[in-house]
Amino acid sequence: MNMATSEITLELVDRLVEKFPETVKNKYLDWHTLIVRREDIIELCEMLKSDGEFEFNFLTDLSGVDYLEYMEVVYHLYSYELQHKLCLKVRVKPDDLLIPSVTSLWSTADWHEREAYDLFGIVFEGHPNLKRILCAEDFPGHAFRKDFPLENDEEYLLRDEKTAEDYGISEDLPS
Amino acid sequence: MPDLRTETLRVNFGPQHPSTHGVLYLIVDLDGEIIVNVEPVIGYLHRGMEKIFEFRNYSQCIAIMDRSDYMSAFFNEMAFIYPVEELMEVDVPKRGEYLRVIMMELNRIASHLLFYGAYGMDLGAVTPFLYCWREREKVMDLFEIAAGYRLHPNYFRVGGVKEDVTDEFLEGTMQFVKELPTWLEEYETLLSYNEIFNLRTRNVGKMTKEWAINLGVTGPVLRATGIRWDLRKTDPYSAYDDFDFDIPVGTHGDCFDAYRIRVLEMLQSARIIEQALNNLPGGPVRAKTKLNVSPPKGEAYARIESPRGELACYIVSDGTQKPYRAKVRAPSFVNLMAVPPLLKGHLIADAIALFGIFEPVMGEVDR
Amino acid sequence: MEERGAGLGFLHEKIKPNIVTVSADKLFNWSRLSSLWMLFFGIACCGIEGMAAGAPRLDFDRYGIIPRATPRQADFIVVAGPVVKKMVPVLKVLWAQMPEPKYAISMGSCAITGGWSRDSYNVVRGAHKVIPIDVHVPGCHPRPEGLLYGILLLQEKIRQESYTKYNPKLALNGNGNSPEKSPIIVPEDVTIDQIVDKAESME
Repeated sequence: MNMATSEITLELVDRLVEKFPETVKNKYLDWHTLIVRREDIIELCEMLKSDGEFEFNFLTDLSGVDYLEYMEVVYHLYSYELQHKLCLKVRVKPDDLLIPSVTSLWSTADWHEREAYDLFGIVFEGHPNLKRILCAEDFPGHAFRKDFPLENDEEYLLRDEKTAEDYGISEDLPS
Repeated sequence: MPDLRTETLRVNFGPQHPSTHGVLYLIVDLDGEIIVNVEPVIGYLHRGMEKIFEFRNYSQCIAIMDRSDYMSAFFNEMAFIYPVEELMEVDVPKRGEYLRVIMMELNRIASHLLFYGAYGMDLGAVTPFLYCWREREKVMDLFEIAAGYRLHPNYFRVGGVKEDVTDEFLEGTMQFVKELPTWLEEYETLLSYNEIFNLRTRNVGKMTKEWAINLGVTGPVLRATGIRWDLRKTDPYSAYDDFDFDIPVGTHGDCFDAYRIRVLEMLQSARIIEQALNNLPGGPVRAKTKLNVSPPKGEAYARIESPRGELACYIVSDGTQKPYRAKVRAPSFVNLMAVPPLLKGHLIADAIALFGIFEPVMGEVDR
Repeated sequence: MEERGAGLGFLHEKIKPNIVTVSADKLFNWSRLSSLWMLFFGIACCGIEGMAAGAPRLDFDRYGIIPRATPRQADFIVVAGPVVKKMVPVLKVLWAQMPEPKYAISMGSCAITGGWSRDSYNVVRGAHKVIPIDVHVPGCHPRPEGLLYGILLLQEKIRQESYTKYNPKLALNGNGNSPEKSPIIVPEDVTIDQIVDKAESME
């Protein structure tokens, strides 16, 4: 299988790293990744959207991931005209979950950021309407964090080890 | 005469309503018949699917992914398996790829048929709804012959498909595809050439290209605004390179274009299936991997073209049999975000026509 | 007496059963079961198969069933899909808006026990914790023929009802519970979790 949208060229990535010296370059499969500080994210995204060499006008996905020492917000960007792609990541510490919002640049970040707030507790500064979207308004806690339990998980796992006879069902077919 | 006091009326398009395509709750502020503000409230089907994925192994996740967007089950399975195969660098055999393409295109036809029926019913035409089930039942029968179940087939596996198809399936599919143009012509006479339907959908809700790209809209609605963007052509995956098909594109960006594109896509799907059946290679249908995979540590993101738009999965794996984080980028979730700015200023009857175009499936929006 | 609903032991111990009441029972039961009007509450995937039961291949219209959009004109409700905690007040309001005599069918394993997402933090483990259910149709998803069979079983149940004989098994709490238990009443200021806890404690 091939993925025809090409990766962004290395010299463009180097240009970005020159301008924002605190970012870290990375790569997974064929996605160039930049780990950005949260203070730089708005400026970097403005440059990515308006500059003629980048022209990233399509934010596909904004997801939160909970690694236990830090939380990460992952942005996947595509460009319709130049047909290349880039991935941005921002890391925040669990006791200081605040990231500036990119809703002013790409309106499609609206509900994605609300979902990240609802499920992980990450607060996006500058969002027009930051409230819960999927869970109920008075839901206690943030559901997708690693320390939030999935109820009844033990009962499910134990159920796999029981056989029919434990439940009193005999295996013989009726005559 | 003193000025009359007017105020806006707040109406609940509640979760239980025949024209909200599932459990979507719209809070609509009306000034007479003109819509002032729309606020969608979702979450009435939030089952915590992505959290459950972290406690199940990959082959169980495939069975659960069927139930996310229940109208297009094969696309969900493909969207989950594709990044895993990229991570593990698995080579899928040719016959497996062709079978996947045949199943996905049959599913596209079934999904567009239900759109046709439901859209007609939203606008008041009840007859197309009963007609579309006639052909959908034939497609469901084909799925039952091949995979064993009608709506949640659980047929794709990492590295190919579960098992080979029988001759009965191949003959049935060929016959279905040969009959498609005749009944599609009959269905078009019911809706597309109908005067009331044309009056209600032409020039309603003109969408521009910049607006669509900024709001992240994908799928037939994006193609209705005039952008020739279909992931099967611009970013080919699976075996779509080998087939010859067109992409219908709209000109005006109104509701009629978005509806007609879906009807024409059914014809193109039939073309793809016919080519795939004629050139079906022999050989194994699944690569030799374990069924219970443990992909290496890393991340993957890959996207496919589902009947509603761009469907993608972002998978973070930590080397064990269960994913660390699996996020589903659902096209209906993003398309639904575009509804409130579009509906402002329209009459409420036009709002139903506009809203039906996006065809949200709530299983995918809420996951 | 109001918990039992009209038609079920309405005249219990007021009139002895005789030839007139038995014939009247048969006539009224037959007229009720031959035109059951359905409130289709298709939440998720089972909703699609429920619609397929009304499709031309297996038409449920020949049994007298018409899908109605409003609960005020419906005889029975088909809960097809998982009931999520946010949805519990909505389902209760719908059930309260339906006029008596009313019945409920829960379709699919998500509505019976919670289904594949049973472990989740957000799913109520069974629609029977919210409203009393008469017929369960298992499967994930059941075939449309299965839903039709469930409707035929409901018709059998209606056939056994009587105005003059109170049968506790057919009481409104369809699980066979005694009618001394009060029905679930929603007070004014209450959170969703309180509703769910109260429903689960009434088992």
